[in-house]
Amino acid sequence: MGPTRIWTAVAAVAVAACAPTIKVQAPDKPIEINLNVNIRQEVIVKLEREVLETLRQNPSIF
Amino acid sequence: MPPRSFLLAAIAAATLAAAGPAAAIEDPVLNAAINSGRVGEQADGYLGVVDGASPAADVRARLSQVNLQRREAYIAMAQRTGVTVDEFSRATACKLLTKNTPSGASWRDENGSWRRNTSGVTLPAYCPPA
Repeated sequence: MGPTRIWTAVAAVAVAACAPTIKVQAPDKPIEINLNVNIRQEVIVKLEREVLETLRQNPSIF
Repeated sequence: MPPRSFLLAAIAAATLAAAGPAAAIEDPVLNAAINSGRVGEQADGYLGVVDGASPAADVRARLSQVNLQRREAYIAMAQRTGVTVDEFSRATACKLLTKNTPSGASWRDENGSWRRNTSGVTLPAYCPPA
């Protein structure tokens, strides 16, 4: 998440905190759900033992 | 060897063994280049030349050699574990980024930006917590 998006989120919370009424508004951009990230994380967690083994066996290149 | 120095040596060996993976790459040429901020670990599991740096020819040569050897290791391990080469190399980078980026050195994040280690390395979001 870039700084701009963080500030946007902070601004949104700040505005929401001040607003007396609740408005339900559809976001102007489609909501993206990136499944690749979750799949990859699962794979990477599963590989931890083999990764450590690889590092131990090749100390001159890792 | 007198018993006392033997005991000290044994304690030293045990301490080293308990420390786990070494804190830096065991290659003096690359280690020096990393410490001086010319070369760094990348989120893709390979070493790279830091933006704006111009390492000596022997450093570049060693870097290419190590990256080729790493690629061989990644291919073999990806085959063995049934994942893609990219997945295995990135999983390895999750460990390498912390291990080989001492304070003051630089690493390249998953978005391709070189970052200097001033207050710790921020691992890519897909890495397990260190």
